[in-house]
Amino acid sequence: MKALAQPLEKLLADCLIFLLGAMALDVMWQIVTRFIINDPSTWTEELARFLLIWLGCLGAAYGVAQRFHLEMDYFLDKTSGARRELIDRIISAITLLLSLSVMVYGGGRLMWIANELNQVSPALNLPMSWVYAVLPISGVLMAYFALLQILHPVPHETEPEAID
Amino acid sequence: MPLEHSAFKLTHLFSLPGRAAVPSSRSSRGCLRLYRGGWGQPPSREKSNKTQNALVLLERLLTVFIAVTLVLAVSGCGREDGETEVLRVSHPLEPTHPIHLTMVHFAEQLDKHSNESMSVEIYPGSQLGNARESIELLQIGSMDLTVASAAVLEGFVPEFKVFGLPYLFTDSKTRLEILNGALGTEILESALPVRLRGMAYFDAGSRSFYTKEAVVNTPADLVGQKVRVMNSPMAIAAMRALGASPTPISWGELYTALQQGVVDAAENNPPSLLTSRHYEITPYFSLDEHTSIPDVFIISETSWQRLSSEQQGWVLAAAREAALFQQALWATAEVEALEKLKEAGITIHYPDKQPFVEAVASLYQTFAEDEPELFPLVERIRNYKQ
Repeated sequence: MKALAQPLEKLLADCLIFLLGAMALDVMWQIVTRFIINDPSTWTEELARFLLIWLGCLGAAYGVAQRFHLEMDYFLDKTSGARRELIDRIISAITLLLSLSVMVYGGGRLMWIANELNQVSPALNLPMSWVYAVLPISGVLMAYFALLQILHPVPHETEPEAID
Repeated sequence: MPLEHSAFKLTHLFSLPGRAAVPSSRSSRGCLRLYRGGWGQPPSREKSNKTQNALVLLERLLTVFIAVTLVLAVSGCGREDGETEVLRVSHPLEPTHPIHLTMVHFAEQLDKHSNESMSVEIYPGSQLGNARESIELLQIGSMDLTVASAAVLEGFVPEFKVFGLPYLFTDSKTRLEILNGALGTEILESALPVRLRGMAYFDAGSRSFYTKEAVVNTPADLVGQKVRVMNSPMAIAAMRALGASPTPISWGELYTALQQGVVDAAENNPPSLLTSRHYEITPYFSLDEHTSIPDVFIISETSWQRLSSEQQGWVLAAAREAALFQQALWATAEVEALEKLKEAGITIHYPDKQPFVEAVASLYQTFAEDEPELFPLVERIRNYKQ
């Protein structure tokens, strides 16, 4: 299970780079059509919004993997050793619970309803269930990374990577 | 680990003089850690007793907090004791808007009909979600009622696309007759398969152009003008047919967009032009009244099924009364808005509508080809005789 983590993180990072690049191109095209061609494109704004949703959700999953989400560590830093590991595991367990209930279950339900009731986006005519699909996807990823952190806690007293 | 890297450097940068910078062994992830350098030394082994005490205290505080929350949560859940059925409304408009006043009226009517056994809680100003999100909440069953423009409903119920056609109704009197009549009800019922039950239409008047530079007297004046439209395929198609370049921009961003020249013009009904203060930038208002897209008062089908048939009757009666109240309120609001716009120095033009009607004729042909199953509805509205 752990073996999957590295390639998955890499894939996720590549996806994020692609999404950000696509978003930049999309917004650039929007500006070109508005001010140079003078015939504004009608779908660029919507596409940018959907790309941002995907970027945000997948980025959050990447954040769980890299453990760079915000945390209140005042009390956490007063502990060490086994106690610290226990607290870390509890935190990861809460992350796991949240990602399964809110993202996978709640987001999956939203995606399912949008699909069943055929909701489409106004400009691109895209099924909204495709847009909402990112919720359960990122939820599963978050749950996976959180579970990994419960099973293999990262030791805390290690040096960060060398500066060079 | 690029972030750790930068966080580490930043801690050195931010550490205050006279205090030790965070030793590298303590610096790990998280922006909040940046400040730790200023918060004294890292905890040492001698302090472990103190730490233990702090943790015990924290645990006790947490227990008390959880207990209090649970008690409050349980006491708040006592719906059964009062027997009051609470319906919640989410709508995107501000509390001074006619729609909100109508919702207040609806609450009063429902109170009266149900002998105070039902009540309404109103959440205005998008606080629980914008128009589209509110509709989704209704579908999921987390919200009971909302008011949404037919243009927003297009994405959920194709039948509502019909209202996006320009010059669909001959005049506003016929429009209200159709909407309040059997044909209107038929369109409302088309939302049932997607778990929405339309109860009544609210009037949103007719939309007309307001421009920064040139007055719009004929469709030719629109050529090359960038006009803000709602994010709706019908609105975009209608604007293309009229000759303008449609630009979908969200309503909230429109003031700045007009100011900065992202768009040259926009279109809406007089009360919206007044309350949005867009007239401060756009001095010309041409009342060509191209589209009349009504608002729809919807109840979630899940909530509807929860109600007894008696309660359903009360809700529907209150909704119909609210609609009549709103339609009258809207008519006065429109007249008042036009007067106030004139006072503010806006020139109001009344262009001949015929050239505009001719310009959109092609749109009806494409609509007939693209949406053959919806076109009979269009014909019935256009051939309506009272």
